[in-house]
Amino acid sequence: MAKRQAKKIPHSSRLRFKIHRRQLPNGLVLLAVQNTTAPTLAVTCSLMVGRMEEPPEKAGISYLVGESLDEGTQRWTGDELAALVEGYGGSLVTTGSGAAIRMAAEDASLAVKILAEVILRPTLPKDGVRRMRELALAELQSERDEPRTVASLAFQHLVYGEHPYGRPSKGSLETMASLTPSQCRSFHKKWYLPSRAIIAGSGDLEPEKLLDLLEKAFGSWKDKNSKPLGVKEPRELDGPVQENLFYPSNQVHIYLGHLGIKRTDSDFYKLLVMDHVLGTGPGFTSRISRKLRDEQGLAYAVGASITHSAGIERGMFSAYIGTSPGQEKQAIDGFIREIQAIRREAPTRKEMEDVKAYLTGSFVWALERNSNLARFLVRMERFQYGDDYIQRYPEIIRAVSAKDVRQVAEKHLHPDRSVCLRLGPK
Amino acid sequence: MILKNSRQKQRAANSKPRKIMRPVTKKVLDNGLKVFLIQVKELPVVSHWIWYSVGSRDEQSGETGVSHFLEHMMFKGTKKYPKGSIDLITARLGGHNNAFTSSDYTAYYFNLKSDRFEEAMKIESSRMRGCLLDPKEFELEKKVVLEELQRGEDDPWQNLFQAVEASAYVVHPYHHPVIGWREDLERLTRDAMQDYYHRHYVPDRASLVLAGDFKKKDALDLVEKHFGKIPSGGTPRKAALHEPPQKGERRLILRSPAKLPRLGVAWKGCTVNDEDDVLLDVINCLLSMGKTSRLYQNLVKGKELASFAQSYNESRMDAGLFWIISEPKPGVEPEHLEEAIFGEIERLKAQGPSAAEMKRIQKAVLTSFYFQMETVSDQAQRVGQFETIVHGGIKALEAYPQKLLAIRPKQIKEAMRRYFVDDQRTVGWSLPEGE
Repeated sequence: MAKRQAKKIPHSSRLRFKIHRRQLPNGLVLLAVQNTTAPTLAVTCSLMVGRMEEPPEKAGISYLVGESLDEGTQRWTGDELAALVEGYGGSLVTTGSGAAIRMAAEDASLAVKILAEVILRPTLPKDGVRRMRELALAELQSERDEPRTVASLAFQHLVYGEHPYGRPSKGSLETMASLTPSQCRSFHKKWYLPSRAIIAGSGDLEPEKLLDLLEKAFGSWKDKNSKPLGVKEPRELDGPVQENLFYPSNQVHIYLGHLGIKRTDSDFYKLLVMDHVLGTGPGFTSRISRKLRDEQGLAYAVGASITHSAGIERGMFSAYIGTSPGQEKQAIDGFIREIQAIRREAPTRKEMEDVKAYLTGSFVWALERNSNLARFLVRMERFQYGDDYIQRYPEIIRAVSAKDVRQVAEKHLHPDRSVCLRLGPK
Repeated sequence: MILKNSRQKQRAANSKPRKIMRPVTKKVLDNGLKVFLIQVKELPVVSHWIWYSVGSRDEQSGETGVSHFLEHMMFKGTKKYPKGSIDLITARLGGHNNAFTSSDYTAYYFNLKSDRFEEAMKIESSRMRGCLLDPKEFELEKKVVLEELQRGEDDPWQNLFQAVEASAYVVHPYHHPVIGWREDLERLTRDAMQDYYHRHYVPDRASLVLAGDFKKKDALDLVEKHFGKIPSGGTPRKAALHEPPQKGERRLILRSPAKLPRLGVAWKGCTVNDEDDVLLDVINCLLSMGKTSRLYQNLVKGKELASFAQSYNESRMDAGLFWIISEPKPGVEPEHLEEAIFGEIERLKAQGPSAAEMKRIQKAVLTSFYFQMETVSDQAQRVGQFETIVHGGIKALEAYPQKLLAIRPKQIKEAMRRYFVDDQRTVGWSLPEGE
C-alpha cells in the first residue's frame, strides 16, 4: 500500500530544496539553499541598480562602478583581492548590478567576507576606475565589429527612445569617457543600499550557517532613502518604424518588435506559454523556428519572445533572424504571418499540451547549478513568487487556456506598431 | 590582518584533492558499445550521452564539414522518429537535448527526469543506425548549415582562428574547420553522407554515459534492451595523417571589415592526457587565469597595452595548439603588443613560476576542475569526452588532481622551453581593410 501511494506523488515534489530566508533590520533579504552535488558554493548579491539610476549624461556609470568594485576595498587592494580569491581557486565577478562569488564550500566564510568588502567598502580608486573606463571604451569600440550587437543596440534604441533602456549599458564613447572616480564613489554611496539588495547562496553548506555568515557581514549596512530619478515610462509607437542600416557583413540581421511587459504583469504566464508556441520553444518546436529554420532553411539563429526580457521595467517583444541577403522579405513576412496567426486563432490543443508539458517538466533544470540556483532565488524574492512557488508553478502553467493565449497575443503583440530593423550589406 | 590572510592561504594551498568523481561503473556490450554509469542522487534527473568517436579529424579532403552536417541530420528523422519528433518528445518530457561536433568527437545528449530517461535510449538506439537522411531534408538542412557558416564569417575572431589553424596544420586534418569549407559543403551529396554515417555510427565506435538518479541494474537492463541487438561492424578509427614538424614561424594577415586589430598566436601543443597536458594547463592559468595572471597583470594592467589577453591549452586527440589571443588597446601599435606578449613568454621560460605562484595556480586549477563537475550533465560530459579521446579514459580523469598537485616549478620551466619555440608558432593578425 505504501508503495502504491509513493507512486502517486508527483515527480516534481521530489525537489528537495528547502529555502531559508532571513530579513535583516536594515531591509536586506538573505536566502540560502543546500545543494550537495559538488563541494562548491555560489553566493550572489543582486542590487536594483542600473540604467534607471543614471542621468543621461552619465550613461554607463552603473557599469563602470560595477566593473571597478574589485579594484580595491578598505581592507584589500585590488591585487590583494585577486590573489585571495584566486588563491582559493574561486572566482569573483562584479557587474553593474552587484557581485557574485564562487568558491569551494569549505571556504564559505572567506567568500562572504570578500563579497561584503566589494559591495560595502569599495574604494573605487582613481587609477583602477581610470583603467576600467579605458577597458569599457575599448569594449565599446570592439562591439562595433559585431554586426548582431550593433543591430541589437540600434533596435533597442528605436524601441525605448530616450528611456534609459534605449541606451547601451556601457553608455556611449562620449559619456563613458567623461566619467570620473569621484562620480563613481557618489553613485555607489547613493544607490548601493540594503533595501535595494538581495543576497542568495547555494552550495554544499548548512543554509542557516550561510545566513549567519551573511548576517554578520552585511548586518551593519546602513539603509537610506535615495529618491528615484523619476524616469518616464517608455512611449508606445504610433505606427510602424522601418530602419535600414548598412554594415559590411555577410548576413543580414533583422529585429522586429516593440515594447513588452514587466515581470509582474498579470499576463506573464499566459505570455510564457504563448512565447513557447510562437518563437522560443526548445529545439525547433516553436512555430517560428520550425517554419523559418526547419521548413524553409532561412537561418541558423531565429526566435522570438516577449517574456525573456521582462523585468522590473518593461522588456521588449523581439523577433530576430540572421539570414542571407535576398531572403529578408521571406523572413519578415514569416514573422508577421506567425504573429498575426497567433493573435487571430487560439493554439491547437496539441500545441497547448506540448508546451505545458515542457514548461512544467523542465523547471528542475533551473535548479541544477549553484550559481543558477542562487540567481533563481534572487528572482523569486524580487518578483515575490512566494515560498511555495516551486510547488505552485505547474498549476499556474496548467491553468493557462488556449483562449488566454490568443487573447494575450492580441493584447500584447502589435505587428502594425513595430520597429523593423535591418542591418547588413546593401 | 595580513598575517591571518597568509595563514588562510597556507591552509588552502596545502589542501588535499577531495574525491569529486563519483564511482563509475563500466560495462562493454557484446557489440562493443561501452557503457558508463555514474549515480548522483541529489536531484531526480538523468543525463544521457552518446559519444561517437568521429569528428572533423576523420574527414577526407573534399568531404569537410560532413561530421557536423550529419549531426544536424540526426534530428531530421529516423525510421521510428519522423522529422521534428525528437525535439517534440524531449519537450513533452520536460527535458532538453542537443548535440555538438568537434574535431575529435560528436556527442548527443538528453537531460531528462529520472522516471523517463528510457525515451532517450529509444531515440539514440533508433538513430545509431536508422537515420533516414531524407534527400529533401538533406538539401534543406544544407541551407541552414551554410547560414551557420556565413554567421561565423561575420565574426572576426572565428575567421582568425580558422586562418591560424589552417596555417598551423598543413597535412593533419585539424587544418580543416569543423564546419567545413564552403565549397565542400555545397558539393556534398546525400549518398556521400550516408556512406560516412554507416562507416562511423556503430556501437563499437560509441560510448554511452548515464549520470544521475537511477538504479544501476535497471539502467544496464535498459541499455541491453535497446542497444544490445545493434550489430557492430563499422570501420575502426584510423590514425590521422601525421603533421610534420614545423620548421619556422608562420605569419599571416587577414584583412577584415572589423575596425580593431586582433591577434591570435598558436604554438604546437600536445594530446589530451599527454604527460605534458597538465603542465600546459598550469601554464595556461599562469598566463591568463584571473586578475593575478601574468598577461593581465603586465599587459592589461601594468603596461596597459591590451584590452584583453587570453590563453588556451587546446589539447586534442592528436597534438593540439596552445593559443594566446589578444586585442590591443585603441591607439596601441599591434607590434608593441606582440612584442610584449612574447616578452612574457620569454620571462616565464627563463625564470619559471615562483613557488607561491605555483601553489596558487594548483589550487585554482583544482577548484575549477570541481566547478566543471557541478551537474550530472557535467559529470557525464567529462567522462564521455575522456573515454572517447583518451587512452585509459576515466582513470586519466581520476588521476588528474594528483598529477596536478605533484607538479614542481622546474617542470613548468622545462615545458615552456619545449613548447614555446619561435619556429613552432603561427602568428595571425586580423587587421582593418585599407590600412
